[in-house]
Amino acid sequence: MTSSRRHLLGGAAALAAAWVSGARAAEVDLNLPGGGGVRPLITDYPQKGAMILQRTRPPLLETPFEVFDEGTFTPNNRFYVRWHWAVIPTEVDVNAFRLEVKGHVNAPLSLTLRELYNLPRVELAAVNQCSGNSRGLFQPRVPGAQWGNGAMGNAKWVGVRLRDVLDRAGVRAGATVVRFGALDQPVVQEGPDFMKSLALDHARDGEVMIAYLMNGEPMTLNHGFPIRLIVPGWFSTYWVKALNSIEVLDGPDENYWMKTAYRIPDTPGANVRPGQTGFGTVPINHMVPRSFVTNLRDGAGLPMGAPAPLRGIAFGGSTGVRAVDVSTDGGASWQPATLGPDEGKYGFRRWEAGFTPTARGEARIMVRCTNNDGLAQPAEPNWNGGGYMRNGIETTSVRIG
Amino acid sequence: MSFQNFCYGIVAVAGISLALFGKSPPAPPAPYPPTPEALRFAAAEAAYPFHNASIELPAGDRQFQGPGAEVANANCLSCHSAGMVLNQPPLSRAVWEEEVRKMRTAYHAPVAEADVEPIAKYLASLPRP
Repeated sequence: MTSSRRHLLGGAAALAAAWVSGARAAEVDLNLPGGGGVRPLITDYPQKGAMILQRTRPPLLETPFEVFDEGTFTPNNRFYVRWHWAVIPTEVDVNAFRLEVKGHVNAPLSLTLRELYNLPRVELAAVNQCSGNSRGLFQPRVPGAQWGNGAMGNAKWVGVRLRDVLDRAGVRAGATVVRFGALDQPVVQEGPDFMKSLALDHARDGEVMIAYLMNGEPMTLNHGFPIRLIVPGWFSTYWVKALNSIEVLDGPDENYWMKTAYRIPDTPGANVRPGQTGFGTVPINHMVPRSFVTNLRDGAGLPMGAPAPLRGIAFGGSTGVRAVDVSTDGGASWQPATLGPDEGKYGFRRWEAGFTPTARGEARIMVRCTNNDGLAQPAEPNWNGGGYMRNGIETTSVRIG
Repeated sequence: MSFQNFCYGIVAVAGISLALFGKSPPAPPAPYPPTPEALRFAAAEAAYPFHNASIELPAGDRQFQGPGAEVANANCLSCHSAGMVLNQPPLSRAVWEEEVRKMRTAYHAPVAEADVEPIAKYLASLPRP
Protein backbone atom coordinates (compact mmCIF):
# COMPACT_ATOMS: atom_id res chain seq x y z
CA MET A 1 0.00 0.00 0.00
CA THR A 2 1.40 3.40 -0.82
CA SER A 3 1.94 5.81 2.01
CA SER A 4 -0.51 8.33 0.57
CA ARG A 5 -3.16 5.64 0.45
CA ARG A 6 -2.37 4.62 4.01
CA HIS A 7 -2.61 8.26 4.88
CA LEU A 8 -6.03 8.54 3.29
CA LEU A 9 -7.21 5.46 5.11
CA GLY A 10 -5.87 6.93 8.34
CA GLY A 11 -7.85 10.06 7.64
CA ALA A 12 -10.99 8.03 6.95
CA ALA A 13 -10.47 6.10 10.17
CA ALA A 14 -10.04 9.40 11.96
CA LEU A 15 -13.32 10.69 10.61
CA ALA A 16 -15.08 7.45 11.52
CA ALA A 17 -13.68 7.64 15.05
CA ALA A 18 -14.86 11.23 15.37
CA TRP A 19 -18.29 10.18 14.11
CA VAL A 20 -18.59 7.44 16.70
CA SER A 21 -17.16 9.23 19.70
CA GLY A 22 -18.31 12.70 18.76
CA ALA A 23 -15.11 13.97 20.37
CA ARG A 24 -11.50 13.15 19.58
CA ALA A 25 -10.80 12.91 15.88
CA ALA A 26 -8.22 10.15 16.03
CA GLU A 27 -5.53 8.56 18.11
CA VAL A 28 -2.07 7.22 17.48
CA ASP A 29 -0.37 4.51 19.50
CA LEU A 30 3.36 5.14 19.77
CA ASN A 31 3.83 1.57 21.06
CA LEU A 32 5.91 2.63 24.02
CA PRO A 33 7.28 -0.23 26.13
CA GLY A 34 4.87 -0.98 28.95
CA GLY A 35 2.09 0.97 27.23
CA GLY A 36 0.82 4.48 27.73
CA GLY A 37 1.67 5.49 24.18
CA VAL A 38 -1.78 6.49 22.94
CA ARG A 39 -1.92 10.15 21.91
CA PRO A 40 -4.49 12.27 20.12
CA LEU A 41 -3.83 12.97 16.45
CA ILE A 42 -4.89 16.57 16.01
CA THR A 43 -5.63 18.46 12.83
CA ASP A 44 -6.57 21.86 14.25
CA TYR A 45 -3.25 23.23 15.48
CA PRO A 46 -2.52 26.55 13.75
CA GLN A 47 -0.30 26.26 10.68
CA LYS A 48 0.05 22.49 11.12
CA GLY A 49 -1.35 19.42 9.42
CA ALA A 50 -2.14 16.21 11.34
CA MET A 51 0.20 16.03 14.35
CA ILE A 52 0.55 13.84 17.42
CA LEU A 53 -0.33 15.88 20.48
CA GLN A 54 2.10 15.41 23.34
CA ARG A 55 1.28 18.69 25.08
CA THR A 56 -0.80 21.69 24.06
CA ARG A 57 0.94 24.49 25.99
CA PRO A 58 3.78 25.08 25.45
CA PRO A 59 3.43 22.91 22.39
CA LEU A 60 5.00 19.51 22.00
CA LEU A 61 3.79 18.18 18.65
CA GLU A 62 5.22 15.02 17.15
CA THR A 63 5.44 14.11 13.47
CA PRO A 64 3.37 11.00 12.64
CA PHE A 65 5.93 8.47 11.48
CA GLU A 66 4.37 7.76 8.07
CA VAL A 67 5.37 11.30 7.03
CA PHE A 68 8.99 10.10 6.89
CA ASP A 69 8.04 7.65 4.16
CA GLU A 70 6.89 10.44 1.88
CA GLY A 71 10.20 12.06 1.02
CA THR A 72 13.64 13.20 2.05
CA PHE A 73 12.37 16.52 3.36
CA THR A 74 9.78 16.85 6.10
CA PRO A 75 6.97 19.25 5.15
CA ASN A 76 6.86 22.33 7.35
CA ASN A 77 3.27 21.70 8.38
CA ARG A 78 4.17 18.18 9.59
CA PHE A 79 7.49 19.13 11.23
CA TYR A 80 7.60 18.51 14.98
CA VAL A 81 7.22 21.48 17.33
CA ARG A 82 8.80 21.94 20.75
CA TRP A 83 8.94 25.03 22.96
CA HIS A 84 10.19 25.27 26.55
CA TRP A 85 8.30 28.25 27.92
CA ALA A 86 4.66 29.11 27.27
CA VAL A 87 5.40 32.78 26.58
CA ILE A 88 6.03 32.21 22.89
CA PRO A 89 6.37 35.06 20.41
CA THR A 90 2.91 34.83 18.82
CA GLU A 91 3.22 38.20 17.12
CA VAL A 92 6.28 39.70 15.46
CA ASP A 93 6.56 43.22 14.06
CA VAL A 94 9.25 42.78 11.45
CA ASN A 95 10.10 46.47 11.33
CA ALA A 96 10.63 46.72 15.06
CA PHE A 97 12.54 43.44 15.32
CA ARG A 98 16.27 43.70 15.99
CA LEU A 99 18.96 41.06 16.28
CA GLU A 100 21.35 42.29 18.97
CA VAL A 101 25.00 41.29 18.74
CA LYS A 102 26.76 42.24 21.96
CA GLY A 103 29.21 41.30 24.67
CA HIS A 104 32.87 40.76 23.91
CA VAL A 105 32.79 42.47 20.49
CA ASN A 106 34.37 45.60 19.03
CA ALA A 107 31.13 47.08 17.71
CA PRO A 108 27.82 45.91 19.16
CA LEU A 109 25.18 45.60 16.46
CA SER A 110 21.45 45.99 16.35
CA LEU A 111 20.58 44.47 12.99
CA THR A 112 17.29 44.94 11.20
CA LEU A 113 15.88 42.02 9.29
CA ARG A 114 16.63 43.93 6.09
CA GLU A 115 20.30 44.26 7.03
CA LEU A 116 20.45 40.59 7.85
CA TYR A 117 18.73 39.69 4.58
CA ASN A 118 21.32 41.67 2.64
CA LEU A 119 24.19 39.52 3.92
CA PRO A 120 25.47 36.69 1.66
CA ARG A 121 22.88 33.95 1.43
CA VAL A 122 23.73 30.31 2.18
CA GLU A 123 21.73 27.10 2.06
CA LEU A 124 21.98 23.58 3.44
CA ALA A 125 19.90 20.52 4.24
CA ALA A 126 20.03 19.40 7.86
CA VAL A 127 18.19 17.15 10.26
CA ASN A 128 16.70 18.89 13.25
CA GLN A 129 16.28 16.35 16.03
CA CYS A 130 15.16 16.91 19.61
CA SER A 131 17.72 15.75 22.18
CA GLY A 132 14.97 13.61 23.70
CA ASN A 133 13.64 12.13 20.48
CA SER A 134 12.49 8.53 21.20
CA ARG A 135 12.65 9.07 24.99
CA GLY A 136 9.38 7.16 25.38
CA LEU A 137 11.17 4.04 24.10
CA PHE A 138 13.75 4.00 26.90
CA GLN A 139 13.73 0.91 29.10
CA PRO A 140 13.49 1.40 31.99
CA ARG A 141 11.29 4.38 31.18
CA VAL A 142 12.44 7.86 32.23
CA PRO A 143 10.51 11.07 32.93
CA GLY A 144 10.33 13.84 30.31
CA ALA A 145 8.46 14.36 27.06
CA GLN A 146 7.40 10.84 26.05
CA TRP A 147 8.27 11.10 22.37
CA GLY A 148 8.16 8.26 19.91
CA ASN A 149 10.58 8.56 16.97
CA GLY A 150 8.91 11.61 15.45
CA ALA A 151 10.67 14.47 17.23
CA MET A 152 12.90 14.97 14.20
CA GLY A 153 12.68 16.30 10.68
CA ASN A 154 14.82 17.24 7.71
CA ALA A 155 14.58 20.60 5.97
CA LYS A 156 16.45 22.78 3.55
CA TRP A 157 17.48 25.90 5.43
CA VAL A 158 18.35 29.23 3.84
CA GLY A 159 19.89 32.11 5.70
CA VAL A 160 23.17 33.82 6.49
CA ARG A 161 26.33 32.57 8.11
CA LEU A 162 26.60 33.24 11.81
CA ARG A 163 30.29 33.90 11.12
CA ASP A 164 29.44 36.82 8.83
CA VAL A 165 27.34 38.40 11.56
CA LEU A 166 30.02 37.85 14.21
CA ASP A 167 32.72 39.24 11.92
CA ARG A 168 30.66 42.34 11.35
CA ALA A 169 30.63 43.00 15.08
CA GLY A 170 34.27 41.99 15.39
CA VAL A 171 34.91 39.38 18.06
CA ARG A 172 37.46 40.64 20.60
CA ALA A 173 40.52 38.70 21.70
CA GLY A 174 39.79 36.48 24.68
CA ALA A 175 36.28 35.57 23.55
CA THR A 176 35.50 31.86 23.92
CA VAL A 177 31.77 31.29 23.78
CA VAL A 178 28.77 32.66 21.89
CA ARG A 179 25.39 32.64 23.65
CA PHE A 180 22.04 32.81 21.89
CA GLY A 181 18.83 34.23 23.29
CA ALA A 182 15.35 34.45 21.84
CA LEU A 183 12.00 36.17 21.95
CA ASP A 184 10.37 33.49 24.10
CA GLN A 185 10.20 34.24 27.80
CA PRO A 186 9.74 32.40 31.07
CA VAL A 187 6.18 32.34 32.36
CA VAL A 188 7.58 33.15 35.79
CA GLN A 189 9.69 36.29 35.99
CA GLU A 190 12.59 34.67 37.84
CA GLY A 191 12.52 31.53 35.69
CA PRO A 192 15.61 30.82 33.59
CA ASP A 193 15.29 32.48 30.18
CA PHE A 194 16.01 29.96 27.42
CA MET A 195 19.55 30.47 26.16
CA LYS A 196 22.11 28.15 24.60
CA SER A 197 25.72 28.61 23.68
CA LEU A 198 28.38 27.28 21.36
CA ALA A 199 32.15 27.46 21.52
CA LEU A 200 33.41 30.43 19.48
CA ASP A 201 35.25 28.22 16.97
CA HIS A 202 32.09 26.25 16.36
CA ALA A 203 30.02 29.41 16.03
CA ARG A 204 32.51 30.70 13.44
CA ASP A 205 32.84 27.46 11.43
CA GLY A 206 30.91 28.91 8.47
CA GLU A 207 28.21 26.23 8.69
CA VAL A 208 26.24 27.47 11.68
CA MET A 209 23.52 29.57 10.12
CA ILE A 210 20.89 32.13 10.97
CA ALA A 211 18.02 30.84 8.84
CA TYR A 212 14.95 32.61 7.54
CA LEU A 213 13.65 30.04 5.04
CA MET A 214 12.60 26.48 5.81
CA ASN A 215 11.98 24.25 2.80
CA GLY A 216 11.69 27.34 0.62
CA GLU A 217 9.11 29.11 2.76
CA PRO A 218 9.47 31.84 5.37
CA MET A 219 9.87 30.35 8.82
CA THR A 220 6.51 30.05 10.57
CA LEU A 221 6.04 31.26 14.14
CA ASN A 222 5.87 27.63 15.30
CA HIS A 223 9.38 27.08 14.00
CA GLY A 224 11.01 30.31 15.06
CA PHE A 225 9.94 33.22 12.83
CA PRO A 226 11.55 35.49 11.89
CA ILE A 227 14.96 33.82 12.26
CA ARG A 228 16.38 30.78 14.00
CA LEU A 229 19.77 29.27 14.51
CA ILE A 230 20.76 26.18 12.50
CA VAL A 231 23.54 24.09 14.01
CA PRO A 232 24.10 21.31 11.46
CA GLY A 233 24.82 17.94 12.99
CA TRP A 234 23.94 19.05 16.52
CA PHE A 235 20.81 18.39 18.52
CA SER A 236 17.96 20.83 18.19
CA THR A 237 18.32 22.32 21.66
CA TYR A 238 20.99 24.57 20.10
CA TRP A 239 18.82 25.58 17.16
CA VAL A 240 17.43 28.58 19.02
CA LYS A 241 14.08 29.70 17.58
CA ALA A 242 13.04 33.34 17.29
CA LEU A 243 16.69 34.28 17.79
CA ASN A 244 17.10 37.91 18.84
CA SER A 245 20.32 38.01 20.83
CA ILE A 246 23.89 36.93 20.15
CA GLU A 247 26.20 37.52 23.07
CA VAL A 248 29.93 36.89 22.88
CA LEU A 249 31.34 35.75 26.23
CA ASP A 250 34.92 35.61 27.46
CA GLY A 251 34.26 32.69 29.76
CA PRO A 252 32.04 29.65 30.13
CA ASP A 253 28.27 30.05 29.94
CA GLU A 254 26.90 29.24 33.37
CA ASN A 255 23.24 29.60 32.48
CA TYR A 256 20.77 26.90 33.53
CA TRP A 257 20.17 25.53 30.03
CA MET A 258 23.88 24.77 29.59
CA LYS A 259 25.03 24.08 33.13
CA THR A 260 22.11 22.01 34.44
CA ALA A 261 19.68 21.04 31.70
CA TYR A 262 20.43 18.99 28.59
CA ARG A 263 23.42 17.23 30.14
CA ILE A 264 24.46 13.74 29.05
CA PRO A 265 26.81 11.25 30.69
CA ASP A 266 30.39 11.78 29.60
CA THR A 267 30.56 8.14 28.48
CA PRO A 268 30.71 6.54 25.00
CA GLY A 269 27.29 6.93 23.36
CA ALA A 270 26.02 8.74 26.50
CA ASN A 271 25.34 5.22 27.71
CA VAL A 272 25.13 4.22 31.40
CA ARG A 273 23.41 1.48 33.37
CA PRO A 274 20.24 2.40 35.21
CA GLY A 275 21.27 3.33 38.73
CA GLN A 276 24.91 3.87 37.77
CA THR A 277 26.64 6.79 39.51
CA GLY A 278 30.06 8.38 39.54
CA PHE A 279 30.23 9.58 35.94
CA GLY A 280 30.68 13.16 34.78
CA THR A 281 28.26 14.98 32.52
CA VAL A 282 28.67 17.31 29.54
CA PRO A 283 26.22 19.44 27.60
CA ILE A 284 24.59 17.34 24.89
CA ASN A 285 26.29 18.10 21.58
CA HIS A 286 26.54 16.48 18.14
CA MET A 287 24.14 13.86 16.86
CA VAL A 288 24.88 10.21 16.18
CA PRO A 289 23.74 7.97 13.31
CA ARG A 290 20.19 6.65 13.12
CA SER A 291 18.10 4.79 10.56
CA PHE A 292 14.51 3.63 10.22
CA VAL A 293 12.27 1.50 8.06
CA THR A 294 9.51 3.83 6.91
CA ASN A 295 7.27 1.67 4.69
CA LEU A 296 6.37 -0.99 7.27
CA ARG A 297 4.84 -0.56 10.68
CA ASP A 298 5.63 -2.85 13.57
CA GLY A 299 3.15 -5.72 13.52
CA ALA A 300 2.39 -5.45 9.79
CA GLY A 301 1.63 -8.62 7.84
CA LEU A 302 3.45 -9.67 4.63
CA PRO A 303 2.57 -12.54 2.29
CA MET A 304 5.04 -15.43 1.85
CA GLY A 305 7.09 -15.43 -1.31
CA ALA A 306 6.03 -12.02 -2.58
CA PRO A 307 8.67 -9.34 -3.02
CA ALA A 308 8.28 -6.74 -0.28
CA PRO A 309 10.92 -4.07 -0.92
CA LEU A 310 12.03 -2.22 2.19
CA ARG A 311 12.75 1.47 2.30
CA GLY A 312 13.49 4.11 4.84
CA ILE A 313 15.63 6.99 5.98
CA ALA A 314 19.02 7.30 7.60
CA PHE A 315 21.20 10.11 8.81
CA GLY A 316 24.79 10.15 9.96
CA GLY A 317 24.50 12.72 12.74
CA SER A 318 27.52 15.00 12.66
CA THR A 319 28.61 13.73 9.26
CA GLY A 320 27.15 11.97 6.22
CA VAL A 321 25.91 8.42 5.72
CA ARG A 322 28.59 5.95 4.60
CA ALA A 323 26.39 2.85 4.55
CA VAL A 324 23.03 1.45 5.55
CA ASP A 325 22.75 -2.28 6.18
CA VAL A 326 19.56 -4.25 6.57
CA SER A 327 18.85 -7.53 8.32
CA THR A 328 15.60 -9.45 7.88
CA ASP A 329 16.52 -12.22 10.30
CA GLY A 330 16.92 -10.34 13.55
CA GLY A 331 20.54 -9.39 13.01
CA ALA A 332 21.95 -12.81 12.05
CA SER A 333 22.87 -11.63 8.54
CA TRP A 334 23.09 -8.21 6.93
CA GLN A 335 22.89 -6.92 3.38
CA PRO A 336 23.84 -3.46 2.16
CA ALA A 337 20.96 -1.17 1.24
CA THR A 338 21.00 1.03 -1.86
CA LEU A 339 21.37 4.65 -0.89
CA GLY A 340 19.25 7.38 -2.45
CA PRO A 341 20.54 10.76 -3.65
CA ASP A 342 22.86 12.63 -1.32
CA GLU A 343 21.08 15.90 -0.53
CA GLY A 344 23.74 17.06 1.90
CA LYS A 345 25.71 15.32 4.61
CA TYR A 346 23.59 16.65 7.46
CA GLY A 347 20.26 15.63 5.96
CA PHE A 348 18.19 12.47 5.69
CA ARG A 349 19.39 9.94 3.14
CA ARG A 350 16.83 7.57 1.71
CA TRP A 351 17.65 3.86 1.33
CA GLU A 352 16.07 0.80 -0.27
CA ALA A 353 16.62 -2.93 0.05
CA GLY A 354 15.03 -5.98 -1.52
CA PHE A 355 13.16 -8.47 0.67
CA THR A 356 11.16 -11.56 -0.23
CA PRO A 357 9.89 -13.43 2.83
CA THR A 358 10.72 -17.13 2.65
CA ALA A 359 9.63 -18.39 6.06
CA ARG A 360 6.32 -18.10 7.89
CA GLY A 361 6.13 -16.53 11.31
CA GLU A 362 7.73 -13.42 12.68
CA ALA A 363 10.48 -11.64 10.76
CA ARG A 364 12.57 -9.09 12.63
CA ILE A 365 13.74 -6.40 10.26
CA MET A 366 16.66 -4.33 11.45
CA VAL A 367 18.45 -1.38 9.91
CA ARG A 368 21.87 0.00 10.79
CA CYS A 369 23.50 3.23 9.67
CA THR A 370 27.25 3.74 9.62
CA ASN A 371 28.37 7.35 9.22
CA ASN A 372 31.37 8.77 7.40
CA ASP A 373 33.43 8.69 10.60
CA GLY A 374 32.87 4.93 10.72
CA LEU A 375 30.49 5.24 13.68
CA ALA A 376 27.67 2.68 13.50
CA GLN A 377 24.46 2.43 15.49
CA PRO A 378 24.92 0.16 18.52
CA ALA A 379 23.11 -3.19 18.66
CA GLU A 380 21.94 -2.48 22.21
CA PRO A 381 20.08 0.79 22.74
CA ASN A 382 21.94 3.33 24.84
CA TRP A 383 20.35 4.45 28.12
CA ASN A 384 20.66 7.48 30.39
CA GLY A 385 18.39 9.07 32.96
CA GLY A 386 17.67 12.14 30.82
CA GLY A 387 16.35 10.04 27.96
CA TYR A 388 18.74 11.70 25.52
CA MET A 389 20.47 10.71 22.29
CA ARG A 390 18.85 7.33 21.70
CA ASN A 391 20.31 5.71 18.59
CA GLY A 392 20.31 1.91 18.92
CA ILE A 393 19.47 -0.24 15.92
CA GLU A 394 15.70 -0.22 15.37
CA THR A 395 13.74 -3.41 14.88
CA THR A 396 10.45 -3.69 12.99
CA SER A 397 8.68 -6.97 13.58
CA VAL A 398 6.38 -8.22 10.84
CA ARG A 399 4.24 -11.34 10.47
CA ILE A 400 4.87 -13.49 7.40
CA GLY A 401 1.83 -15.57 6.46
CA MET B 1 13.15 67.19 -16.13
CA SER B 2 14.26 64.31 -18.32
CA PHE B 3 11.91 62.72 -20.79
CA GLN B 4 11.83 59.56 -18.68
CA ASN B 5 10.80 61.40 -15.51
CA PHE B 6 8.23 63.31 -17.54
CA CYS B 7 6.73 59.96 -18.64
CA TYR B 8 6.70 58.68 -15.05
CA GLY B 9 4.86 61.87 -14.16
CA ILE B 10 2.20 61.17 -16.75
CA VAL B 11 1.83 57.59 -15.48
CA ALA B 12 1.53 58.88 -11.92
CA VAL B 13 -1.14 61.41 -12.88
CA ALA B 14 -2.99 58.67 -14.78
CA GLY B 15 -2.80 56.47 -11.70
CA ILE B 16 -4.19 59.17 -9.45
CA SER B 17 -6.98 59.89 -11.94
CA LEU B 18 -7.76 56.18 -11.95
CA ALA B 19 -7.95 56.15 -8.16
CA LEU B 20 -10.11 59.26 -8.08
CA PHE B 21 -12.44 58.66 -10.99
CA GLY B 22 -12.58 54.92 -11.30
CA LYS B 23 -12.74 53.85 -14.94
CA SER B 24 -10.09 55.08 -17.29
CA PRO B 25 -8.45 53.86 -20.48
CA PRO B 26 -5.87 51.09 -20.06
CA ALA B 27 -2.53 52.35 -18.72
CA PRO B 28 -0.11 53.26 -21.52
CA PRO B 29 2.80 50.86 -21.95
CA ALA B 30 5.85 51.63 -19.83
CA PRO B 31 8.32 53.81 -21.72
CA TYR B 32 11.08 51.17 -21.49
CA PRO B 33 11.02 47.49 -20.67
CA PRO B 34 12.22 46.89 -17.09
CA THR B 35 15.94 46.30 -16.77
CA PRO B 36 17.21 42.89 -15.59
CA GLU B 37 18.25 44.61 -12.35
CA ALA B 38 14.73 45.87 -11.80
CA LEU B 39 13.32 42.41 -12.48
CA ARG B 40 15.73 40.83 -10.03
CA PHE B 41 14.84 43.43 -7.42
CA ALA B 42 11.13 42.79 -7.93
CA ALA B 43 11.65 39.03 -7.59
CA ALA B 44 13.68 39.50 -4.42
CA GLU B 45 10.99 41.77 -2.99
CA ALA B 46 8.30 39.21 -3.77
CA ALA B 47 10.35 36.58 -1.97
CA TYR B 48 11.36 38.83 0.92
CA PRO B 49 10.58 36.53 3.82
CA PHE B 50 9.82 38.99 6.59
CA HIS B 51 6.25 40.19 6.91
CA ASN B 52 4.39 40.87 10.13
CA ALA B 53 3.02 37.63 11.47
CA SER B 54 0.81 36.48 14.29
CA ILE B 55 -0.65 33.22 15.47
CA GLU B 56 -3.15 32.27 18.13
CA LEU B 57 -2.05 29.19 20.02
CA PRO B 58 -4.48 26.99 21.95
CA ALA B 59 -4.13 26.98 25.73
CA GLY B 60 -5.32 23.43 26.32
CA ASP B 61 -8.34 22.88 28.50
CA ARG B 62 -7.57 19.48 29.99
CA GLN B 63 -7.83 19.41 33.78
CA PHE B 64 -6.47 16.92 36.26
CA GLN B 65 -9.29 14.73 37.49
CA GLY B 66 -10.15 12.65 40.52
CA PRO B 67 -9.43 12.85 44.25
CA GLY B 68 -6.63 15.27 45.04
CA ALA B 69 -6.66 16.91 41.60
CA GLU B 70 -7.42 20.41 42.92
CA VAL B 71 -3.89 21.04 44.15
CA ALA B 72 -2.46 19.98 40.77
CA ASN B 73 -4.92 22.11 38.84
CA ALA B 74 -4.18 25.10 41.06
CA ASN B 75 -0.39 24.82 40.83
CA CYS B 76 0.61 23.21 37.55
CA LEU B 77 -1.57 24.63 34.82
CA SER B 78 -0.35 28.22 34.85
CA CYS B 79 2.95 27.21 33.24
CA HIS B 80 1.86 24.24 31.13
CA SER B 81 -1.18 22.24 30.11
CA ALA B 82 -1.77 18.82 31.63
CA GLY B 83 -0.98 16.57 28.67
CA MET B 84 2.69 15.84 29.18
CA VAL B 85 2.18 15.17 32.90
CA LEU B 86 -0.56 12.68 32.14
CA ASN B 87 1.63 10.99 29.51
CA GLN B 88 4.39 10.10 31.95
CA PRO B 89 5.22 6.45 32.57
CA PRO B 90 4.61 5.07 36.07
CA LEU B 91 6.90 7.05 38.39
CA SER B 92 7.31 6.61 42.12
CA ARG B 93 6.04 9.23 44.54
CA ALA B 94 9.66 10.10 45.31
CA VAL B 95 10.40 10.74 41.63
CA TRP B 96 7.25 12.84 41.30
CA GLU B 97 8.34 14.84 44.33
CA GLU B 98 11.69 15.44 42.63
CA GLU B 99 9.89 16.61 39.49
CA VAL B 100 7.65 19.02 41.41
CA ARG B 101 10.66 20.33 43.33
CA LYS B 102 12.47 20.89 40.04
CA MET B 103 9.54 23.08 38.97
CA ARG B 104 10.02 25.13 42.14
CA THR B 105 13.78 25.39 42.29
CA ALA B 106 14.90 25.28 38.65
CA TYR B 107 11.92 26.96 37.01
CA HIS B 108 10.78 29.13 39.95
CA ALA B 109 7.18 27.94 39.73
CA PRO B 110 5.23 29.58 42.55
CA VAL B 111 4.35 26.29 44.24
CA ALA B 112 4.06 26.49 48.01
CA GLU B 113 6.34 24.08 49.86
CA ALA B 114 3.24 22.71 51.59
CA ASP B 115 1.76 21.78 48.19
CA VAL B 116 4.74 19.79 46.93
CA GLU B 117 3.90 16.54 48.69
CA PRO B 118 0.16 16.61 47.95
CA ILE B 119 0.89 17.21 44.24
CA ALA B 120 3.41 14.36 44.16
CA LYS B 121 0.99 12.09 46.01
CA TYR B 122 -1.78 12.89 43.55
CA LEU B 123 0.41 12.38 40.46
CA ALA B 124 1.75 9.08 41.79
CA SER B 125 -1.80 7.92 42.50
CA LEU B 126 -3.02 8.34 38.92
CA PRO B 127 -3.65 5.08 37.08
CA ARG B 128 -0.90 4.60 34.52
CA PRO B 129 -0.28 1.64 32.26
